[in-house]
Amino acid sequence: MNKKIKLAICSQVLFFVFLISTSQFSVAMDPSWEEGVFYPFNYVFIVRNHQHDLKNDILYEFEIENKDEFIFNITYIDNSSQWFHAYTFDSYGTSSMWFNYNVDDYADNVLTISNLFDVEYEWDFEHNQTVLTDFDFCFNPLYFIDPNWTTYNSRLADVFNGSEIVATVVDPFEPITHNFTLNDTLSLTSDYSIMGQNDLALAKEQFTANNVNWTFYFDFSNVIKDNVFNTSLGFDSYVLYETYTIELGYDYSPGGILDQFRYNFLYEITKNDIYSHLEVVEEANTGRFPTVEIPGLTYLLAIPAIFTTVLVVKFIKKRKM
Amino acid sequence: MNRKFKIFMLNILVVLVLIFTNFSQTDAATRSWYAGDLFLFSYSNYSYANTTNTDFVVSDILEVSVKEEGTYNITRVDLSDNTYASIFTGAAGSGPNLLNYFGWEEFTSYRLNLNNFFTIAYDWDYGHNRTVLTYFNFGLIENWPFIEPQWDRINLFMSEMFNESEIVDTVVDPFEPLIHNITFGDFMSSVESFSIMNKNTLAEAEQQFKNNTRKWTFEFDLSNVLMDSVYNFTSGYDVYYPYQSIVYNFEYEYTEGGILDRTFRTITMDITIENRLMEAHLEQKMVFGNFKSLEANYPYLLVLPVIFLVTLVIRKSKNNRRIK
Repeated sequence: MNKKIKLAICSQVLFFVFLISTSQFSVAMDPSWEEGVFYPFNYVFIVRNHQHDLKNDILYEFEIENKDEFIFNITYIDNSSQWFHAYTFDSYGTSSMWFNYNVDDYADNVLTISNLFDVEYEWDFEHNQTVLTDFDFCFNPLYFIDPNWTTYNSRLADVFNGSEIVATVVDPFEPITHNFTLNDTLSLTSDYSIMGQNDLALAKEQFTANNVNWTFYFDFSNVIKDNVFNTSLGFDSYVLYETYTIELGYDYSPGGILDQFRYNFLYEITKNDIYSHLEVVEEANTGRFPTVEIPGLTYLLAIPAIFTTVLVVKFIKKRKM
Repeated sequence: MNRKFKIFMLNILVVLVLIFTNFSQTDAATRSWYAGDLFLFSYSNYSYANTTNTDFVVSDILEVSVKEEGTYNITRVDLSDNTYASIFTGAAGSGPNLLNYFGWEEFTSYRLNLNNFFTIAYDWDYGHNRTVLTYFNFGLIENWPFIEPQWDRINLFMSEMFNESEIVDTVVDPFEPLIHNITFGDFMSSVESFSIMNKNTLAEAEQQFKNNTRKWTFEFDLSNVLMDSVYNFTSGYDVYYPYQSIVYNFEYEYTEGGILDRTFRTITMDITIENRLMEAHLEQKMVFGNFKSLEANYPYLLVLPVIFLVTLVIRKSKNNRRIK
């Protein structure tokens, strides 16, 4: 075969390879969610607050659990503007809403460092230093999104820019502003993990073109502090949180339907002789709640009943072995 | 054994029996709480509500539970006016040194009259031109943790409380010049069922309030009698829907010396209004002791669900073995 033909064939092959590669690299599939289909989801929100007054030896517990089922009935999808219309049905009625499922629009509004991270520092007048007093990492995922995973992962990776400022504190004595970057804040943690990595650069490599699973974990135990007004000093003192962890993870189906989302926030602190334990759990899952027929007032005793069930299951497993 | 000795022993026996009998049948027991004492109680408020859209069978379940321990530090007891002062310490810290009544006379006059013990309300149902029961509740006595243990007097007042001819509510007829007076007897004859001291008639129930009774139990089933309402903009009046099931339970129990041992009130209900089904359970408890005392009082509740869950687990593991 002469060199010109070989070049021509090679170019054609390269062109086709480029086309195919672009398709795979972009992983821009058509959404798998459709008009005329009913998509059920379930949502859970739990707050558990336990306190122990150590001076008076008094206990207090507050718990709230909300479990909600709802259904999206997608009626119209506009592929050009990337908006869709759906009716949502829940126990309280029906709503009619339009939703934007474009990834760049979503990233502009939601996948930003200022929206995902909530970080605060304060000035500790007692020790004349800055202290970290608040940290959160959370956002609201879309239930249906354009499965443009290349763009989604790329925009999300951009968020984790270690040198970006996340909080500032004006020095009360010197004419300076203390700036805290994401790196500064993450370096304070006992442990953190983004996409299974303890390093931002390595973490960003995990946001690959076809990735549909994201995990985040931050442990600020014995780092982050709460303020207590000190009446003798006339300003706030700061107390360490013994435990302070945040965990967030979510998955989409490759076709752009939210599969599951979970957020867990936990802290423990002893302040003014009161020990407090707070846990916040938020979950969203595709599908309805699993149904188990349980009569009457069983839910009153879910905790002891679950313990007993675990014991029974362990016993049965032992017998099987 | 000679006759004189037998008679002597019999007399001793009679005296002994009289002594012990009087002990257990103390009409006015000895108060067991004093100034300087500290008592721990636990409180629990629990609610469960399951709302279902019956068109799409989607549910929302909300459970809220608040539990709190609290201590009463009794600082003073005044027998001249039947008051005691105490400092309550709970999750919010210590309160002021508050004065409260503890006398049986104050308890019976404030609490043991029909219209303080029960709250019963009726409305006019324009849809059917009749009166309907729209509200019902019991009185709780959690503000009487300490009481003068005059059990005979308290039980006497309790037995006399259920006066069927006493009016519990009135409804002005919107069309006729008359007032509908609804008596306690009218209310009682309309309920699905009731149980007072485990008896289903007032006459039998009243006999259960004995001189030394310190535990009182009540259950009212107002299924299909108690109504909820939704305003109808077309008709211009409220439309009433019956609770398919609604049961109230109320119990309270004192120690012999006049310390509240436990009290609880529960309401379990379900109602369907248009395309919404709501099932709810509300529970308020106050018990003597720490948090563990809150669960200890309801062993029967533990047994049923545990058995059911265990059965589910065993059935599931048996099924799994068959598939393999």
